[in-house]
Amino acid sequence: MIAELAEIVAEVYEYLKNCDEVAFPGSIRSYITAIKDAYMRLLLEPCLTPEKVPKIVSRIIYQNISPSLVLKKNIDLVVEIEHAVCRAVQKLEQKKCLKERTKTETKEKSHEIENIPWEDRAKGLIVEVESSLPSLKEAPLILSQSSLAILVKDIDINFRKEAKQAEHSRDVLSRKVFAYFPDKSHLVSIREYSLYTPSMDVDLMKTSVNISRKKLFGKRFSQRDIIVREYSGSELRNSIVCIDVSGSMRELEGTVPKIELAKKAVSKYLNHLAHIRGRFSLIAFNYRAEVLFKLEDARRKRDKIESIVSKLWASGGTNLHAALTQARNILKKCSGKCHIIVVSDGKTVFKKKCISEARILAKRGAILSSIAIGRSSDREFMIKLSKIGGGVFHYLSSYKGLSKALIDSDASIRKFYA
Amino acid sequence: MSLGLPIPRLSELLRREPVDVSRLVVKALRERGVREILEHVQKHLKGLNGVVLDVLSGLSVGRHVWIVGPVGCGKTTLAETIAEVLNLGEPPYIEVACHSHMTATELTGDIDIAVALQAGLDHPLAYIPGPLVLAHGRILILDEINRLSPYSQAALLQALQEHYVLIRGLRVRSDFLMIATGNPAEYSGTYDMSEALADRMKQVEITLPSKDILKEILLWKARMYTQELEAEISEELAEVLATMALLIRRDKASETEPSVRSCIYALASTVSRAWLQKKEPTIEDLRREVLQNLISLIQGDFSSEEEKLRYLDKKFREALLLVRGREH
Repeated sequence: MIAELAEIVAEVYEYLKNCDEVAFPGSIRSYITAIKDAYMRLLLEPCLTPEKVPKIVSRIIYQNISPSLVLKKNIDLVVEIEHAVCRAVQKLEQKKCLKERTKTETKEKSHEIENIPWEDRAKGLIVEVESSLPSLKEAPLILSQSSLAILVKDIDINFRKEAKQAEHSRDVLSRKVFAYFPDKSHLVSIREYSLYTPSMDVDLMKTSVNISRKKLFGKRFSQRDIIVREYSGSELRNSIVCIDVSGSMRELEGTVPKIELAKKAVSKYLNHLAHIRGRFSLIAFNYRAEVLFKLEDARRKRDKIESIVSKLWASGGTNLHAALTQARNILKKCSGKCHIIVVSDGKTVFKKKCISEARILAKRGAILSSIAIGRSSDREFMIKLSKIGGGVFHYLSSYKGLSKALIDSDASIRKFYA
Repeated sequence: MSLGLPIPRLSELLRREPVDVSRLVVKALRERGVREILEHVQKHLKGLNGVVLDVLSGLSVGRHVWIVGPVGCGKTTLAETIAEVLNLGEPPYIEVACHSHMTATELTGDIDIAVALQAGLDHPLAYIPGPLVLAHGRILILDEINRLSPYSQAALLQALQEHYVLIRGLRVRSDFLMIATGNPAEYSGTYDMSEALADRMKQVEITLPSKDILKEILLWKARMYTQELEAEISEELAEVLATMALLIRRDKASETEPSVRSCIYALASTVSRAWLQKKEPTIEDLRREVLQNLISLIQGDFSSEEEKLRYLDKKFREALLLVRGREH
């Protein structure tokens, strides 16, 4: 039975591979498990009838391959798979008939040359792929902890010097072994050790002072004596917001025009940035894009920025591409990472150009997030933008949640790159 | 996390033997029989037999399962019930509620430096184990897996496929089967599942039940919750509620559907409120409870809370008309 199921699955694979709407037919692993899974499912079914088999098999195949399958267009995958399974079952039956016929014709021929089952072929492929990948070797044992242990063991007056040496050697080792480059430019906090803290962040100097002091008095030390210094790995403090001010923004939402809600959201976001000492730039775009101000310190220039934001008004068409180009111009002159947030309904001209522009931005090290607003928005396009840009995507049905979405997307990105 | 688990020492963990969990699942299936398992599940959930078999078949061939469905349709209960009925160990499963701020070390566990330096790495408190390590030989339930950030998702990859967990360079064996639950990606607050992680799981979808099954579930659950009150629940109330849920599901003005859970509680609290007032539950009581229970769930193109209330009220009246019209 497994061989037959394997043939059915292979047929589905062939079918999806040749299907124009499918970009990637799914991973080999998922197909192999689909065979086993379908076999098990058929065994588990309480009252199995021949009519049920194709339905169950196609559903199991769908469940297994759908997570890794990539579609070009939206099609009903369940129907397509069912179609392929039905075809495979028909083929199998035809083959069976043929085999029986040939068996009756040539009874002397006892040894049939059988093809290698598809499952075995696929297994061979898997082994090949896995052997070509670099094996994950066990990482060297807890580096910094062992260096700390050495420090604690023999304390003398020169512990400061030793701590310094240990810290240096830890940095060198971490760079060589883990390819981990601590960027110590921007200190976030100094606190005591708690669980789940990366051992690379332990401040060996201060810790050794504390521990040796305790040891001198014959006391035990605790987590409080281990000091942790946290640095923000990369300085992600720049954010650029591209906001849609096309004519559609003049529409009312409830009793307030959308543009007014957007302005409020931007000023709330500005408050948030001022709180975390970020830098902020705003690009308003309709059929052309204008940089209202280049990256400014949100805390110092808050009043100026707010006065500019309050003068925004809406008219014209939508050209996101122009806004992204302007963002690139700002990027050229700023140092450090930059987070670009696009707020729009996604209905823009030059969509292809936008995508290629997003690719360029991602190459230059910027992170591009998108917020799609309105139920008629082109969500797929906006999701694509954020995927290319490595950022997050938010969907809002109205402008009311905009400030929250802005702050949320900013915070999650900051968390990743911290 | 259960308290019944002894805290493992690091040296014991490093000496762990591999366990074939899928074989354990098949053994459990043989011992208990499929019919008995289905009956057990039916004590908690109705109308999900096909889904249960889909999950079980995946588990018994060593495939991790991801149950996808809208809010409040019984995903977590289903996962817990299946893990309970398989009963692979004591406790039968480890459950984790995932959130976006969960780190990879929270899943794997970590070494406490202060203890490790003074008492050695093998002290029982030197290593605080995480759920991925504790789930060895059992079932791990990850609730709302798509709320995990991509960084924590990456920590799962190794454990799911290679069956070991790295803790600061130490390699600990951990065999388990995972049942994950999650909302479809369009719900807010969720991350995109990485392709590598999604590929390691089988995706089983739960859809909302049809009207008749929903009515049955409503009556059954509401009776279960109000058992102590010894109150009668008339079928008409359940019928109206089920019809209303269907109407909202079909309507395009609302983006979300009323969940089964909220409908059950709307009905149950109608009964308990009537019981408090020492009278029979009426349609008007139900209307009030529906507004209170469902208002936060409905999302869509509404400018204010009042508009939402008006919308719900309208749908309720439509459902009532439909049900009464059919009766006459």
